[in-house]
Amino acid sequence: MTAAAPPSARATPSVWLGACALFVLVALWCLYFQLTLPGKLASTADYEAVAQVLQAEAQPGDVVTLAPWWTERARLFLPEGLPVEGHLHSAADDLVLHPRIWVLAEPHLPNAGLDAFWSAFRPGRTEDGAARSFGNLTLQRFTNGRAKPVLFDARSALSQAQGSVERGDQRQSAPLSVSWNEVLFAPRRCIRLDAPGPGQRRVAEFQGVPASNLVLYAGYIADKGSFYEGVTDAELTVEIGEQRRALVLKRKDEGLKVLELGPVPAGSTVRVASSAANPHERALCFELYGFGGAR
Amino acid sequence: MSKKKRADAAPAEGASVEPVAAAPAVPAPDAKLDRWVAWGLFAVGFVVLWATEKPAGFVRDESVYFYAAEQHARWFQSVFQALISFDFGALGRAFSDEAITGSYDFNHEHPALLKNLFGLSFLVFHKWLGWLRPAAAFRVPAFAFAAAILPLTYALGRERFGRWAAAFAGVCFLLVPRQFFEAHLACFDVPIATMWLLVVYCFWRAVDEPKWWIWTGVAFGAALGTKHNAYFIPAVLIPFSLVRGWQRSEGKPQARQLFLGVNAVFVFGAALYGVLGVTLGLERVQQTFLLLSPQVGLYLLMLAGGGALLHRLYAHDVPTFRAVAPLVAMAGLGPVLFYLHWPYLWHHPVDRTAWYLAFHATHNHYAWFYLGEMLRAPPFPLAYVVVKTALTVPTSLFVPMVVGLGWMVLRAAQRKLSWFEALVVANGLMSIAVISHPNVPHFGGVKHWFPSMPFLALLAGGALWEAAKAGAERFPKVTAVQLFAGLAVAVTIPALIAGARVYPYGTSHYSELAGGLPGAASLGMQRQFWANNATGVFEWINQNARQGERVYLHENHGGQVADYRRNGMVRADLQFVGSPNDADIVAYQYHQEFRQHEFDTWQAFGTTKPVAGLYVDETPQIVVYRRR
Repeated sequence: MTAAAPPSARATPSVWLGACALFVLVALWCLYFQLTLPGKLASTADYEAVAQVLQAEAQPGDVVTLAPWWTERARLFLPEGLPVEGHLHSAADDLVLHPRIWVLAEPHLPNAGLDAFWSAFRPGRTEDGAARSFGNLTLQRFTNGRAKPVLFDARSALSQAQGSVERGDQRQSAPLSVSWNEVLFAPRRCIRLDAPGPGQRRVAEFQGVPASNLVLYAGYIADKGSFYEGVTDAELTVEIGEQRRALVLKRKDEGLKVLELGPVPAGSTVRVASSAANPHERALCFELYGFGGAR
Repeated sequence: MSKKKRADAAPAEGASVEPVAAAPAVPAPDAKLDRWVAWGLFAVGFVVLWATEKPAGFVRDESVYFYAAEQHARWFQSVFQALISFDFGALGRAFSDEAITGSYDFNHEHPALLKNLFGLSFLVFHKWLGWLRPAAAFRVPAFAFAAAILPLTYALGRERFGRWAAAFAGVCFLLVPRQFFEAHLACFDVPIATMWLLVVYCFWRAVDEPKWWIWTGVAFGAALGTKHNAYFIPAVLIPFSLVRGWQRSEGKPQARQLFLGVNAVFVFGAALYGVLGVTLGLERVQQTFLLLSPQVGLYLLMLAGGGALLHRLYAHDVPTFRAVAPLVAMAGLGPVLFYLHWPYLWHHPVDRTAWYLAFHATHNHYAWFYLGEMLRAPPFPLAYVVVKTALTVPTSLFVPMVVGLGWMVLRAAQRKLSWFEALVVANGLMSIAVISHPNVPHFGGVKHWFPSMPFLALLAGGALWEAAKAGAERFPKVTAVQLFAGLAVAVTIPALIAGARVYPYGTSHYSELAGGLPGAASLGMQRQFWANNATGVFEWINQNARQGERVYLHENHGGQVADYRRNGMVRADLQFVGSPNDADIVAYQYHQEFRQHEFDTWQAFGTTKPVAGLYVDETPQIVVYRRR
């Protein structure tokens, strides 16, 4: 085929020698990457070994957090009933309902980003022993300093709650339900309270709420916060006796929003209401907890 | 292939923009050998694609095109039958708008050339001969178009960059896993890359050789019939034609005058269309664009005026004629062939073309996950296309592309860049530049800038060849060819491994720079698209689903399901339903924007625990749930 061209046709030979070396080095690095990648992945046996440990050692209230967040293949193997946290922002999740957290990590994955994970995860958490390795998986238990004792959970109290849609003085019964919903890519088991049309409110009323520090979590469902055409903000109001607090869910602002309501006396009636000037795509849900103070 | 030595084959040191009399970088080509190499490359590409066709799932659009192609085939069948039986009444009815619309109305947002070919191939290889399953029969023309990229790249690049580099560049297109996967599909993204390359090839030949200007027009017409990317081809070629024409008419006053005249006719015509649009409004222009209307008259006048001047130019100065004739052919033959190839336009050419153009000018935006952000609406990040290319083209191929591009930039700075080199660079960057515009839809992975890739591959091949030559000078015991072969193999093997590991889930591939699929998942990149990865769980479903069970294939529309059934890829007894609530088994396609569908499944099935899934290098792609 073609012979080498005269040197005059080229730029600087030394630059091309450098390019030649670069091509060789990049090719070798790529080859190394491709050949070693399979050895960095967790095997079925690794997962099964982890599952056995968790089956034996996990307690009610525990949760497994995945690192990196997207390694949800673990769900295939982990014991049923043990919650698994793995979503885009799960490293920063306080996991307030879970006093113990198992971190299941795949540290050898390329660009695993575990430094960022640990810096978001560690504050307020303490290790319960060293990490255990299972092939390419590591499992480590933590005490969750961000957890709080739950005295009231609106989801559990739903059978005694009243749901309604209010139009002025009129009030029509509307059932309440708990379901799995996506709030900014995270799965939440929350109470649907879609904002009705103008001049209306959808209300969830809870009676006999125990003395506790109430906190409301709420957000738009799925990517409904992203549909901007002709939509308005939505508002959640919480009424506790005469006290009335509002949480505005801004259009274009997805994610779980938090409203700290402070202490309520025992036997309180708490009403959570949603409204929006325009109900279009204002699907939202909430969770309401009464905490007993930090552990 | 041309036996003659091309004037611009190699740039001379110190020359300005066009080194007309430069010495070639490589010896004069051997046309016979080139033909063998070209056909060999085509054959290898075609056979490899055909041999690996079966596992490639049907992407969402492909099933739409299968259906449309079958409709087109029915129309062709009615025409053939009328012709064979000399039934001119039936022939007339087949050419009526009613009959044409009956077959061509479906999916008229894309022109018909490829769908016609898919349909005819289906008719021949499946219906008449019974040699192939339906999907393979539809796809045969796609293999041919994709395989044609190899010899075309070779033919375009072999004089400037050498045979080895050009052959490597041709093969390089199929070494990129996303391109290799999409080369199997009865879609338009790879074929438009082929057609773009063909137009440029014809144009390049036309500026020096007789007759190729006509072929440039024909190729452009065929490109317009392939996909709307073709509308950007003239934007790249016009400056090259003008520069070449200006240079060649230097010192030839009459040729210069005629050259300017040809251009003036088309510029004036375009300006008059602009005036019509401004004064009448686009809607009125469209409504009054009839056969006997000023709009048609203006087009014919432009062609007649431009043609007459071109004819005189030919008589005065052939080199200048060759510089500008391809553009005139594109302007003349392009629209005519576009009209002729698409029966849907025959009775309502203007309205339906206007609708087609408006559809793409106002295309909606689909959600797209990019570096941890959900892109839903413009403005999109300016760097998106470059970043996505860097993270999806195997790094061992991407780096030579970048070096090759840098080499050209350096040559431009040194005023050594030849007309041909600039042509390669401009075509390598054009599609990337267009899609980079923040208001252009950014969905679809990398497929919308496939037309850039053969040109970037040529730059990669050229860079490898230059590096090999430098190495051979430094180490005289090895020849440049030996070094080039070593380099080519070295950069190819990682790409081959990556492609083999990810196939047939090509839309999921990420490069070493991204950290592969796991790295890209951590970076927050789109995991997959187009819904073809569902095939990864078909084996589990076929083995584990109970008789008559209801299956929800998330993101797979009815056409895909019908095609999977028709091609025997899913069990015939299974019922396919439209939501998790109606299903016993759900195969969820993992996208960030679709996570609600997965959580709906948790809700419907009362479990968060999947039973199976497709996990490519650990990344969840398809997750299977079963109702408790």
